[in-house]
Amino acid sequence: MKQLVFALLFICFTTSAWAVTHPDERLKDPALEARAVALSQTLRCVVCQNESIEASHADIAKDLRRIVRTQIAVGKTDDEIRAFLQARYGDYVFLEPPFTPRTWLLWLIPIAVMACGCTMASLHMLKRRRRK
Amino acid sequence: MKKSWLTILPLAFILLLVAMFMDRLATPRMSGAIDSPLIGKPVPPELGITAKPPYIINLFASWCTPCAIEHPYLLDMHKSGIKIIGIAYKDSTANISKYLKLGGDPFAEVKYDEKGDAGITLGITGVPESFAVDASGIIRARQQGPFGDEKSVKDFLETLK
Repeated sequence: MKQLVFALLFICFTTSAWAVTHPDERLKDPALEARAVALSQTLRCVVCQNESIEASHADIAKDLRRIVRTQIAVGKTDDEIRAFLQARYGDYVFLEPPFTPRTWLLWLIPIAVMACGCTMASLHMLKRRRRK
Repeated sequence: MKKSWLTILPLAFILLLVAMFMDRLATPRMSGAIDSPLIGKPVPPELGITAKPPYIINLFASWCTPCAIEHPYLLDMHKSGIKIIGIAYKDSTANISKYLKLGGDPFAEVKYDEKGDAGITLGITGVPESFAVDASGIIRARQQGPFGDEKSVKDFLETLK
């Protein structure tokens, strides 16, 4: 019984169980399909709230999945496909924003805050040790 | 003195962030509008538009209610002599001819995009969307969603001057 529950839970947490791609959409070659899935998971469904095109039921996401797969099938590289979509949808199409002059603040603030915090904490601890 | 400066620093930083976010949230922005990377670039040749610029590209569909709402604005533009190239997005010729017969035809030419490829070529997120193309064939503006008033039409056409 316990094993069954675990097995069912595992199924719930595998990505394939979440996939919304219709079997007809998938590429026949499993290696290419795996590439399509991996790439699609990094692409934003442009009308959804923070969902990848691989996870979305929206029509436009389905179209983008089709484009990704047709381009993979004709031998385009992942970078070429990303560039193709970026030229049309901009950086917004990437779930992870690329490091550009517009986004460096976004990327560096957490690191800066961490560094600040660490420095302050170590200064504080040093002072306490010295007092003792 | 040095110590008090250090304790204020995190608070000042948080306040700075709050101010930045507030500024961004308070600035009125067209809902969901995304800057199109196509602005400033020539019309993608894959669309197969052979008409002589300047013109407006309007993606529409007979099944799209907001398209029907903006239709009178398109008719007005047509009347004032603006060339509009229609791209029928995921629609059939039969439905489109019925739609244009009923509502009037503002288009100089209608292209059919049955699978939505032209939509992706232009990076649209849905219909209607419009692009203003200047005399040298360069995309100057994008309107996401329907034209809602005279001003939105005016601002859009202003980019062609």
